[in-house]
Amino acid sequence: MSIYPFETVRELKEKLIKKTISPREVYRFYAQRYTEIDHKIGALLEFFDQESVFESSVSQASLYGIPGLLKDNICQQGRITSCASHILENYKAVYDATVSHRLKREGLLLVGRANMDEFAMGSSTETSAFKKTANPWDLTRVPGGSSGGSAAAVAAGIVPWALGSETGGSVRHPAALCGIVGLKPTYGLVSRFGLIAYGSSLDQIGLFSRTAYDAAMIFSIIAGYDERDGTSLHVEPKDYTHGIEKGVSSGLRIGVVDYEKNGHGMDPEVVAANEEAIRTLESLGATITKISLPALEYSAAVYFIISRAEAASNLARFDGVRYGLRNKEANQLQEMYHLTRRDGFGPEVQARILVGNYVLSAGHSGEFYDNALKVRQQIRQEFIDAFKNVHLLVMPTHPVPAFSFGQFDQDKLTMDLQDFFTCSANLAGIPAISLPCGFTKNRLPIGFQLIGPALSESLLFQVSHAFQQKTDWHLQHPSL
Amino acid sequence: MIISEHEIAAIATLSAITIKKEEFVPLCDQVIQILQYAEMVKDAAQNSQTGCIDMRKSNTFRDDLAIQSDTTALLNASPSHDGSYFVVPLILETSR
Repeated sequence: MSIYPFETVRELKEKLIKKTISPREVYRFYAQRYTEIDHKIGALLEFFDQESVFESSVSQASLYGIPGLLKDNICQQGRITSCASHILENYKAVYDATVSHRLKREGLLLVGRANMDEFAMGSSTETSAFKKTANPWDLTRVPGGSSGGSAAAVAAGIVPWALGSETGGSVRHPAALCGIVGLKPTYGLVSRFGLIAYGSSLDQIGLFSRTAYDAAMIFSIIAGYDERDGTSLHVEPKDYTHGIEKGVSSGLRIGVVDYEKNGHGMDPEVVAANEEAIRTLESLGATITKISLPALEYSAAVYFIISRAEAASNLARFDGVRYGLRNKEANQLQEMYHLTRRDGFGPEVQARILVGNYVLSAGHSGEFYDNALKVRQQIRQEFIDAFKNVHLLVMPTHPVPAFSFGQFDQDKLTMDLQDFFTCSANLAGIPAISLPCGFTKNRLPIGFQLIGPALSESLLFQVSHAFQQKTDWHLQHPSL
Repeated sequence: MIISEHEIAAIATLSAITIKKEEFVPLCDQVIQILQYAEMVKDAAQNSQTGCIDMRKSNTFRDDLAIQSDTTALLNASPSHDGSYFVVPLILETSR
């Protein structure tokens, strides 16, 4: 059988079209891969049986037979969708998310659900109620988070693509730590219908792949207006691979965002790899300039406040009444709410709800929440102003490479600050893509990110594809 | 900033969460640490200019239409239901 675990979506599609492999053979190959590999890394919460996978996908569709994973906060009808939380441990989604429906309609095989930080709250996939996921490059280290399961599965060759979700960097961060591509789209470009909400003004479904071309292929299916999402942009679906081979035009201007290279806990190897990536972009023909975004310094603080405030509201629905876990010992309704949420939410989720309700409470909302909204506007405006002078921005995705399990157990703030470079794009609602750009001397992946103005995904794919034609970081794989 | 454990306990009550005894102190430490970091937005907001920003995007509101959905599946997914009602413990305790 001529399938190799690190095939791209593009390569698999060609083989399926030529009928050198069949969809069932593909499924069996990756099921075998899962059996052989996943006990080492724990990327998946569930791998679905062959019959149910094929029943729900449309045969003869354009990408029929290509397997992928969804993060466990994206509803797949009839499947458990637990957000890696005890409070939804046995909850089966009663409908498909829009992205699930669109992927199945194009024939993609949704073969499982990926592990994640509980309710997408974390940067390491350690807060999952069910298991930890290991980084395929070093099994003693985290894959990043919160979409760590999705990232680890793609990096390990269990699937060629996967979906995750971003609120503050939860696709780009694990993509960088696992050495793969991770895209966060423009806010509103991918429907949030069926994505279990964390921070509604920040959440976006994103995707993982090995190559920018693959990302464009999958993105073409999930992007586009959805009437069931009240924040969906009126943008028609289109083929994002169109024009991707154009390369970097001589007039392309890329702004390098100024940041403190010795600050924010920056690892020198991460700094060096990012600077090399910038030189590569320059060698491709881009004009590089320096850009200052003074409000960037406050982006993490703003993100902490707004995301937690919205989370406190969004997670209020998990109270044992309509779905999920219910504490059966309670004799009275209020007691049931309290005990259900005590038993169902892990400590990280509880902490974020408490912070969220604190910053919204009387006497504190002016100091925290209202001010955060003002500074968020400032961050957005700085990006808008920057894009008047450059087409794209570049900055690191992460301050340090994959860290050890438990490294930040006693220092939650430093853990949360792993989102320092990513969260500003979420606050501004603009797209960004993380690409592999090197390795540390310990063979841990390093990523950098390109950030564009709203609806610039085509340009991001074009430049990313050109970068990957010039480099081979994305062609390297962990040995498992 | 000073936040008392009493205040955090009050927020927990408002959040409808009973915090386990052994988790209370570490939870308080974490909440306080995050809030102390987030305080910097006060200074940033003083320097920001608020006003309208041309977002070049529009928010889309659906028509306020009621659409029949599959309530059977929703009810079957609940911890307890009776016909088309969710069943929950008593709201008020009764003494007999």
